Amino acid sequence: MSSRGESKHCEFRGEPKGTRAEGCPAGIVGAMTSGMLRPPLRTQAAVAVGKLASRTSQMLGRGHGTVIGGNITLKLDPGALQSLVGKRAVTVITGTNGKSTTTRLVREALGSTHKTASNRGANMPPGLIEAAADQSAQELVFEVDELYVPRVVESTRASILVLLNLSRDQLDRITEIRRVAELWRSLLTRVDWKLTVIANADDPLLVWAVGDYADVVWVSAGYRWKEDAALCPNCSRVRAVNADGTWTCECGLNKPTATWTLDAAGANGPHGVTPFTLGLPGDFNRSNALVALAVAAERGIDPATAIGPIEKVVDVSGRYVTADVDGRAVRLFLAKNPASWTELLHLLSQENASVVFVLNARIADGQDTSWLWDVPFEQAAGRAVVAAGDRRLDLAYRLQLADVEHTVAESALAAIKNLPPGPVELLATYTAFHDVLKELHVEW
Amino acid sequence: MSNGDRLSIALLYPTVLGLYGDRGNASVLAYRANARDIDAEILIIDPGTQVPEHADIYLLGGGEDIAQTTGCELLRADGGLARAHASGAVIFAVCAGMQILGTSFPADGRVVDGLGLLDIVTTPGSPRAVGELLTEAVGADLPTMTGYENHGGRSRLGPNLKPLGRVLAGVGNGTGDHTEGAVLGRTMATYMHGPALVRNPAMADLLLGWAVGRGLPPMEEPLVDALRTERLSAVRN
Repeated sequence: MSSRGESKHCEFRGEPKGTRAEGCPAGIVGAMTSGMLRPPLRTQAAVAVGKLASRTSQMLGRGHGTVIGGNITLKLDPGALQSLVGKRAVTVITGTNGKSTTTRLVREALGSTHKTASNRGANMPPGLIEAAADQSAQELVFEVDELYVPRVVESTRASILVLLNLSRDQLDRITEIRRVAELWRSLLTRVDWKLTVIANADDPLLVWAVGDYADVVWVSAGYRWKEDAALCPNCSRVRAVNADGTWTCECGLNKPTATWTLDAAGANGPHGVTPFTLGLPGDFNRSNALVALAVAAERGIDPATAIGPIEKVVDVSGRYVTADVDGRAVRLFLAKNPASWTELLHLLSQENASVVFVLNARIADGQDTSWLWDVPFEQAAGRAVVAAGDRRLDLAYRLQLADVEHTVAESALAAIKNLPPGPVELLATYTAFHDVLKELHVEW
Repeated sequence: MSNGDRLSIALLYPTVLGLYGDRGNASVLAYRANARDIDAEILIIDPGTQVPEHADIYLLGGGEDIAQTTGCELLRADGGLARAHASGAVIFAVCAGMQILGTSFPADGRVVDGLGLLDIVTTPGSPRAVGELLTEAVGADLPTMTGYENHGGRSRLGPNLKPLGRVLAGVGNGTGDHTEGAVLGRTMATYMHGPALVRNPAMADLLLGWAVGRGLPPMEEPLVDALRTERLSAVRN
């Protein structure tokens, strides 16, 4: 199913022995023998200790150990990320939705011509250490949590910063979306090296965050979710959106002309049209692929070369995997916030499978479930629906008021088994998604 | 009701003041009205549309600083909400919405004049109040209230205002007196998201009762009872 190992890349998440793609270093000791410029001894030692902690954590069955190892490395050497990256080209990918998938697509695209390493899932600085420690990689691609973008971009002197989109998510942690846009805007005023921003021209918050920054490539990636952009982020007036998707404001903040656009024929860019058919579902993944092509072009790779490995990706860290449960094909989706639920419900509405929704509200999910009422669950009507997860009662009441007939189950597995035979689409919040992967024994 | 047999619920500027699913409050009001054979409609009032003066219930939700300031300025310029308030309409305001009904609130480092419909002065506070909020009723006859708060304001109530509740867990108005929200006549304000009326159906029925001019018959909703029990025990433990 997965395209893992089909191109020249190494992904670092502390896989058990035997699953690492061929040619990737087994650890820091192997990596240090490649004859490339070595990081300082202090960093090497800090990484070695971190690796040991990662392995111990893995052996104790406490997950991949990437974050534990990275934390220890950074404690022993706070400058480790910078030292490990050295002078290599870094692409930082951020935004509310699509970070992991776009990072994967970019890694595949760059991997078509260069040895490329990237982090996966863990997107705060400790999560980047393992990938950065791969000294054999020529290109580094990091997905980075929105709030850590300035720190990572500045310490690695990244050469590309990708801004995907910005919308309400984990407001108990992030508090205000505009604050994130302000952080990025302020970062760009401090950049004094060659950094190209690749940003979504359809998201006014990003257009405002980019501001007067000169080195920018606009991508018209689209976005179904509009609820966080009713007002102009520059002057607070109500923004005018035209039928063709362009938008304007009296203050002068308008949708920039995009270099990269999508249509039925494929991706349109400076190289002409690149037709493509993705292994990943959904309009939002076509947008992510468009962004990946723009990054590849910026790194000197022709879209015709880059598109092949992008098309081959069929799952990303468990997302979009189809698992077999008692003969039912269960496709897994990670749905984190109103924007991603809205995109996925739209995708589901085009098919007729049964649906399982799994809702948790632990720290990593965001503890406030109010956002359920921002999501058009009405679209799920007319099929078998089950609500599960820690907060299934909140979900069940939302479905009741949306006039969606449903049942409630304690676990995702019980939910699936309650359904009639046939295909199932399962949408789960962050921690619920990882519980489901465990429950269904999906390797990721 | 102002419009014959139909109860009208005006949801004010949900794209501006609706950051935390506050539109769910409108859904619950309409649902619980319909369940009692009261025909109810939700009027979605987007910016640029005139605020109707004769709706029965007006709902205001939460928003970030710039949305709160713009929302307040639009409402002031429109004037419809103030006129509806003067003629005794029911108003339910949440979080930024509550601050807007007050006399002043902080936004983007400056002090902004509110609509002045309630004597509430909001000043910036630290740390931000984020988490489950549990209160017992003071200004209304209601069972224990549950919600989720996420705000950086401290709201001091004037002498003519009763708080909606006394804080059992969480921050609430944050002025050291354990008050939460405010009630005056047929206007109710709270920091509770959740949305508030989803988790507190008795609060929804109180507002509906004010609007239709009579108490409503009880309504069995085992799912909401279970949800309330779960939320109350999650906070108390």
